[in-house]
Amino acid sequence: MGKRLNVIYLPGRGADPIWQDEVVKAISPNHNLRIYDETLPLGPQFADVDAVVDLGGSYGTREMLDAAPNVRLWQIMGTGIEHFDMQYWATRPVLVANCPGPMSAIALAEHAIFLMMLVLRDYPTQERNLAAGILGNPLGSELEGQTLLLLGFGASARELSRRAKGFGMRVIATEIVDVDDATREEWGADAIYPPDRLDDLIPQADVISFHLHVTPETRHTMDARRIGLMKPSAILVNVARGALVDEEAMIDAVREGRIAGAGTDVATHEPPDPTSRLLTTPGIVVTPHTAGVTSGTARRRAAGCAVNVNLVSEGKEPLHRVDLLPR
Amino acid sequence: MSRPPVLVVHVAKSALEPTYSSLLAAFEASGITSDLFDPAQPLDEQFEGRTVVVDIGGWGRSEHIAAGKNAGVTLWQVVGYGLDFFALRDALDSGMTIARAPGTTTAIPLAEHAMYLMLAVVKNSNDARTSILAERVFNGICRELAGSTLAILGLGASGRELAKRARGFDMRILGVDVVEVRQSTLDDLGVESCVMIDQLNSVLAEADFVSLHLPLNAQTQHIINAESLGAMKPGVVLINVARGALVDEPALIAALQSGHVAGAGLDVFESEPLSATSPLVGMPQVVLTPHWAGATMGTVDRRSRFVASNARAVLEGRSPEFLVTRADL
Repeated sequence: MGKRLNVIYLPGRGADPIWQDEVVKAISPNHNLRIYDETLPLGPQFADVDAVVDLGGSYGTREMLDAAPNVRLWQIMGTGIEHFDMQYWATRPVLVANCPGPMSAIALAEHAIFLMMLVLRDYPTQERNLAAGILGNPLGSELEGQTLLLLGFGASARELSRRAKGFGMRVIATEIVDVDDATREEWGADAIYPPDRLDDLIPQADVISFHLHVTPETRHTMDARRIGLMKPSAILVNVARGALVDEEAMIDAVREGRIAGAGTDVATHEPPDPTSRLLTTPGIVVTPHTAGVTSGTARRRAAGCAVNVNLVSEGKEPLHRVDLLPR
Repeated sequence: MSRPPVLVVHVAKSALEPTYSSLLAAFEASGITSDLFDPAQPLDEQFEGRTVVVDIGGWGRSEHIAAGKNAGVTLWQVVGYGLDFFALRDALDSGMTIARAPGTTTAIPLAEHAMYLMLAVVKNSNDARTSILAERVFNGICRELAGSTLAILGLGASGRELAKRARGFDMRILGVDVVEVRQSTLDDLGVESCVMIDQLNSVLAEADFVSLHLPLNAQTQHIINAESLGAMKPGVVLINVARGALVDEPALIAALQSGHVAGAGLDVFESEPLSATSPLVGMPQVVLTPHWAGATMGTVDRRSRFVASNARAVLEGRSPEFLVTRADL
């Protein structure tokens, strides 16, 4: 273990206390951990800081960075970084790292199954019918026997594949990197194809689930044309990022009955306006970006942040640097 | 040409579909011909010459049973499992063979629904939905099923299907049953161990989730009561897709109010439909569905295939399966 670093944690406004509790548990035994207090002057809180842990990468400001001349590590306690002001951070000698997908993969996979059942068994319509005195109608579909198409075969897709297998689903996936048969079988997937086969796979799928990062290449992977290739009985499930699907095209397709529905934890604009078409279209079920928000994710991410603070304290490079990614 | 040997009867026109279309497809596949009962026509005439009556929803009242008996019907086949409205005593007295659809026809949707209810509870489904509509940022924390312990009470058809799914979720699975379950079956299902029901409390003490898959009878009624709830871990979640009377509902409500039981996912209740004034309604940690765990197209199709196979057995002089007996009274 290297020397004790001065670490400051930027808590989320109103976030569940578990995030902070896990950070305290993981980091304070070996380092001087301070919790940022927005009611106090900013300068003195950052002047001696060596590392920052920024919940979700959402609370750091340029003013904070400027006030921390010694900061070596800016640790984002989250996965997605598209909202992070990397351009400004890149002008400083600070290393920026995130908590990669595997730390929230189980939570995302569980949520994807939850959304699938919500949509396929059409619980919202059942509830509306119940209020009108109609019971057990419409009849739902079971997951058993359906084909699940995973877009991407990274950590969350793998965890989902294994769970879907337990539900008796057929699992196929697209993945840009080669996946060997042993790995594929270990996770319960039936077949994996390169992404250029996507158009052939979409018409086979009953459920399509997103497990991709947002890049210029993956933005609107499911656009109006590809949504048009889906079976009318098929649904979309999104626990990844809103930008992976053309939301307006998806809403149109559900409204016009060209696809059966969608379950999404993410939206193009978050939080979505309560009067938006996304929230008012029967057949679309929305959860408020809670897929990864579990006590398990908090524990695994805090542990990941602690590993990086320790590495930096030993003069080593942190894991999962995101300041090196192409922008 | 003789008249079709099967008469399909039904509770109401509105309850006919999609079951009737599914039945017709299954009959056609088995080479069985049938007529549909017409309430506007005389009763006795319509039963005349039939060998099998297929009853959608357990419609038969005393006069229908009598008409069937007088016509010499051999098998009265209920499409479904519940016999709450059916004139069961008259039917058993009539000498006709009475059959219903076995639990295996609903095992998959029941297991899926139990998984759904567990997920809905740990995903704070009630709060999450309210927060979206109120345009409020959801700041709650959810939990995961992975790594937690699930006690399955009853390793029959739906309990086994649940075990398969829970195993894919990396849950540790403990079983409880009224009969011995073979070790090889437990191994296949990924169930760590299974104890007899008199040792229930030892399993309850270890479980984060308890899901009920027992038949309802004198031995199992109120098996979840103040005492067994007290034997559960603080923070446990109770799931019931089986029968409401397995649970002493006031005792469960008290345990939810005290926080000893952290949440529940319930599809069945002691009295159905659940009263809107029940304390269960409006509890944020309780997810309620109104007895629709089995309501899938898959259930309809599996039941139709079972009914067609039973009808065919009788028409070919073989014995039908899954008979209702006096033990079911």
